[in-house]
Amino acid sequence: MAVSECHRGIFTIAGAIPSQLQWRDMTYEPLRGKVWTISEGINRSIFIEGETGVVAFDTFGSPMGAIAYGMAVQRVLPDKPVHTIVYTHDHLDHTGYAADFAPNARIIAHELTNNVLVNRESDGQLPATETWSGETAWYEIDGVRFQLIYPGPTHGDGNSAAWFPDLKLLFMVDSIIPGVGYTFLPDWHLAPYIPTVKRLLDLDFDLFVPGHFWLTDREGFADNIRWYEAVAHTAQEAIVDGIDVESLPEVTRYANEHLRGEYGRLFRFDEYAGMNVLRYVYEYLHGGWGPEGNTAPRCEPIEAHHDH
Amino acid sequence: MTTELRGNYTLAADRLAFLDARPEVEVTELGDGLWTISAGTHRTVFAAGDDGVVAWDTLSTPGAARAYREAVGRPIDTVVYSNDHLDRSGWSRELAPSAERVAHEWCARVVELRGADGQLPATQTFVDERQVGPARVFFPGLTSASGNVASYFAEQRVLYAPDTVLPNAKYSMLPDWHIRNFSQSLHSLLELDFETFVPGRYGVMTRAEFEEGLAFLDAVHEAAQHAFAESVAVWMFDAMEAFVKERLSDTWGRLDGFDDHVGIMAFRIAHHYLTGGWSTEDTAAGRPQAG
Repeated sequence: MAVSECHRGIFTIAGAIPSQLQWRDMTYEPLRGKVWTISEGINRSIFIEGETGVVAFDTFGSPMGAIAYGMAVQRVLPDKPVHTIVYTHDHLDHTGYAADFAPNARIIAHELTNNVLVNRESDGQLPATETWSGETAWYEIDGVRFQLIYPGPTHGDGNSAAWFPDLKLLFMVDSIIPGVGYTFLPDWHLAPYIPTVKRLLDLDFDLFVPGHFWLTDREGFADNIRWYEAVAHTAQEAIVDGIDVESLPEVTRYANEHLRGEYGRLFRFDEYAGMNVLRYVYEYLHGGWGPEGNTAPRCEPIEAHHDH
Repeated sequence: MTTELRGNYTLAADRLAFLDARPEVEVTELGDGLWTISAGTHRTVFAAGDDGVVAWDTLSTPGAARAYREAVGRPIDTVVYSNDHLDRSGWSRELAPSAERVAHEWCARVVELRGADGQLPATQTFVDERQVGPARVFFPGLTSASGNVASYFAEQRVLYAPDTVLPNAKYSMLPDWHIRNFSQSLHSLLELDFETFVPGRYGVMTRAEFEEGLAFLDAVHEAAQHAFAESVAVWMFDAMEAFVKERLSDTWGRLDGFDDHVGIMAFRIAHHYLTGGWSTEDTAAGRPQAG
């Protein structure tokens, strides 16, 4: 095996992986209270100043991204080490590189998330040091107080939101994202997805921090759900209309014809509307993928009381 | 509509008449007591012998399942679910509601969770392999879907393994494929002595065509990984498609559907390396999350 110049994730090809070594410029800004948000233009996360150190969510998606994240946090809070990382879910583009970000940190993850990454053994992705289970868990770490919420299957495994009720701030990765859905909705669990993210609207928040691109509010959150509902309907109509639903060019033409009028304004409509519909086509042809994609969504309100 | 079955569709009933339409089917004998049947693009097999009639899968709609039942022309004693997808095994209530239904335990679990109206739960499950009629039905490792099994008819030297290798490039986004494991699982099938391969869609293939299809999948897999590694923006479809077409067109551009499908195939595979794979199936555990 070739000598690795950096953590390799799960690449199996020999030699250097240039994409893992690309520098990522970070921008960051204070949000509310002691919560900051940080992005390299595509991925986004949050970190919070504690009394003695920093609670950071996720790691960004490459070794260099993780290093840049760590340097940015250090620049903002120079005397406060990252002592805690919270994983939102298992995917490497969000949580793959704790070894480059803060290798000695306490790492918290939902048990469904940890089940995956322990078995994945990806180079650079550290397992959790502690897990939680069920739907909610309150944490107070170094003066930072938040609730972790696993509302049900949305994307990946154990994908969880963080709610800061005193700040009316909700953070959740790879669910609601400004614009149309990302590419072909990779590892989205579509049958439970819409009712599951709707449950989060029961929470008191007016600022939503997604895992990609820019911030939004409750209306932006709800508006994004309407896109998914429109795609689900359009995908079924495409099947009924007898187009070649396995051909991306055909499905893209159909999506443009049926969705552009109302939704063409959405960010990345031209890039991904067809892929979004293609993915939903399979939801109806196949009936959902795996146990996660066939789990009945919960409908009762999220347990959001402040006792802990 | 004469059928009430709708699978997972949520459209109004008057939009679902296509489910009930009876397609033309074509039946071809593959060997003694073994036939393949196709309706449109979907294809499956059935067998008749001393143990009765065994039908694999249900074809892709209630109307196709009815045409399948009529083409078999005898009571079906057993239905084998090759995997959980509705276009594969979703309409047993129409095909043979009283038959025994055999499925891998992971397939059976998903069918049970889904509760689709035309897809009856399995009555018999297995883990590794079992004999069903003239076939050894076995799990070759993760390929696509949940509990996708292959069926080997040794006497006829026929292998049926739907939702794996195709005689063309029309794999679309490799839906519900398990990228980490599929190649190894499919290569293991070459240990079997078969000369005819029945895919779940399109035409019957020879062993050589199966090997060629597998080589194509491996070539796309490798090209996609290189594209991501070499910093082709993984979220830009046009860039990914251009990269793999440049690498693969000379060798594989002759395959039907190459131009429309190879880009989204590579895009899907590149996202495997971006995300690390999907759930515990794409890890060393090689199985779904525990229920």
